[in-house]
Amino acid sequence: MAKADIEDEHRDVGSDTITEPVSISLIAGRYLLFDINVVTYLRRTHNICGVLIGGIPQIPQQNVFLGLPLELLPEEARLLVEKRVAYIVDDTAWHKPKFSTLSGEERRRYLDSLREAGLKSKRAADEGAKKRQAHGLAKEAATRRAKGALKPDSDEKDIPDSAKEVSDSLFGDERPQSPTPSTISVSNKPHAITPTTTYPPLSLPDIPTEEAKPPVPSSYPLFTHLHSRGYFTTPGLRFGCDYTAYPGDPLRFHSHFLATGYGWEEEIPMLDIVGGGRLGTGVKKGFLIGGAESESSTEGDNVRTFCIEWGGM
Amino acid sequence: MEIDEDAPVTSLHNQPHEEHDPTDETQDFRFIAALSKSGAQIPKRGEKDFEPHGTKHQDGILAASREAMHDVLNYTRSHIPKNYVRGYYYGGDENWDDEIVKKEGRKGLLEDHVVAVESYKGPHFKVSGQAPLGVPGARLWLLPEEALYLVERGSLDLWWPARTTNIPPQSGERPESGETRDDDVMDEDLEEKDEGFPLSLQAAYAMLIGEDQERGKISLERYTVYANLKRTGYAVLRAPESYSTENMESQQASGQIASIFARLFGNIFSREISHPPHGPLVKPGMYRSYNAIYKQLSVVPRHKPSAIPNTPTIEAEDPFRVIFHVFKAARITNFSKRNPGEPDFRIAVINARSTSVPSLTQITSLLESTPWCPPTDDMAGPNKLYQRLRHGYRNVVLAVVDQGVTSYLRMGEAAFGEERLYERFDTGATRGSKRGGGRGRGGGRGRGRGRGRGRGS
Repeated sequence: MAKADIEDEHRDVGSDTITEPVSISLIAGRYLLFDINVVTYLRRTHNICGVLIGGIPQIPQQNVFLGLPLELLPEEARLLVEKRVAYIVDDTAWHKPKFSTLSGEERRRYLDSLREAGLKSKRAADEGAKKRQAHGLAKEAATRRAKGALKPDSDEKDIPDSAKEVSDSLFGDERPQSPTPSTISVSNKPHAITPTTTYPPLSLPDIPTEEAKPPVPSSYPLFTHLHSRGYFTTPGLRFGCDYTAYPGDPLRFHSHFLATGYGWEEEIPMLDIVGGGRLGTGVKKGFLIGGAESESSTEGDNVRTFCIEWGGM
Repeated sequence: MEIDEDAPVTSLHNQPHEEHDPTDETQDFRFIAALSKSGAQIPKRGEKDFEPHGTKHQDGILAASREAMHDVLNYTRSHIPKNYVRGYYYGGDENWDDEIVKKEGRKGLLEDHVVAVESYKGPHFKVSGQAPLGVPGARLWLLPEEALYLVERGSLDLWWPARTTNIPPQSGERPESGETRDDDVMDEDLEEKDEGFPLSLQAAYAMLIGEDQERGKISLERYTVYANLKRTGYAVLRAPESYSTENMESQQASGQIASIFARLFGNIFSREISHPPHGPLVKPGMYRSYNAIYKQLSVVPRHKPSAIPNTPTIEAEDPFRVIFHVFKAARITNFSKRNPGEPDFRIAVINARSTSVPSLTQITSLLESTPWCPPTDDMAGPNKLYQRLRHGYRNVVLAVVDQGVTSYLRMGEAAFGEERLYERFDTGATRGSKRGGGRGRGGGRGRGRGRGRGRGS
């Protein structure tokens, strides 16, 4: 595909450092990714989207934009494992013994890395506070100039306003700071940090030599078929299908197909075809059904797909 | 509801997408800035293309979108000292021997309360957490979903406790480990004191997400629903394990009178619709009202909701069981965790991939585990027929989670048999006339259909 060549001209965000295979966290039977660099890398290089299921701490009270972790479909995890792009780490089994025994040098390094991140955050916060203060003072001065000495008490009102405007909305109960020098603490105590991933900062778990492949539903052949044709897929419950298939990254493109997998000999209820066809046409997508031919002589991909359109004649 | 089955499908293309749900679509993170400003609107869906056409322009926009997404998600949660709240995870089995846990006890706490918060401030703890009963000044304990949600939104620093942690400060002879409740805990040198260490978001997921039966864990689909509702602004509490019999008894009083009436009327009907084995459905004779005829025609038994289920209730079982009680944001100001009152919604959580459509028994036991909630008085009258049907006599919300995508479905115990359209025919308008316009659409349509059927039989 020529697409990859063109993409290289743009800044490769954060994924330069990725080396395959990447780790996928298995928690309670679900496949999760916590590292944003891995998420970006898989999306860009392997057409794997997953679903963001976490909140965004910068804007926590909304559901429109979601954040890490990213949940992968079992199909996606299986595909990545089969392609040797990723391996599965049982995070539940890994974490508890790790933390029960974490000590000595490893523990010190872990705390050091957090402290470093905390100092960075602290410095950034101080910088921001300084800027805010400068901004507030400038505004105050401007107000004072504009209003002259007529309303000297209006200053008090303006300052918190300007501070509120730029104040960090991260914490709901944070009151607007008054831009007095005392708010910029002189101490160099690092902020407490909650890292997103455990490894890094801790060292990576070993790559298991022989691994269990994630169990997948019967529509898996259709999934790999679509993926091998360069389609991006997302879960299809909202449209009553197995997958919605996109011709490119769903960030940029509308989906083309509502895809549902069937067994080769499986009888397809007429109502499914009518319902899927009507719905698909209604949302300007094709209703696509497909399955793997069980007694095919050819090796590899033996999936055949059909697209149903509701004519409404 | 009023979709014309024969309408050409092309009209679907022209329907305005009024019910566009922004969470349906993959969001373009370039527009997230619009949300960060206070009072901003949810961004409109970004312009999307039909297919890649290989232009640099298109690739540039896509790269910008991906970069914006990366930048937003590449955020490290840091805690400003002013808002610092630290919690300790006690899910590890060895941690239960911890001295302060022994001292405070866990009276009134659930098995699942596994995170202890040392000093709790801020609005979140108004609606989450539980303190052990009878111990003044004890720490607040959080359920796994509460702790994980707070970690995720950057409002809680979750720590793995060291064995020497949590010696209360009054035991002054061991000062090197006694600063647990100290507000200036950040000032302590982390390296020298063994007070455990912070957990990552990943570790928090690994510790707190599990199977629902496991102690101190919650399944990912339940957590997904919990977090989704919390982000929307609702207060969410766990529903009691089983719907207690006390609740049933309190309903009994109000239900008693209703059931007497139900029995009375039920008897009347059952007598009337006893038909001879042969002959016409409607006995030949002189009829002066439609009522008498239609009553004889109603041979199909209808579901009749009642305040007290007449069959012995089967205990609702997972996953078709009420998991969360949800309270509207407006009620949070006067919220009491111990005595929250009647929830606005009851929610059952279902995994779309492992669960199929519920059986009638499952739906019935799920609905019967919720209190009697008939249509209110302002839903009375013939014009609000559909509203009444939709409201039902009991209701529950199913949250269906498919790989992190949640759909909410409201299920109600609808009673079509309670809406007897024919009873209206005898009042006012006489036969055939279309003067029933004032009754609204429901009445008019019902009559037309009913007449046709009556003649045919």
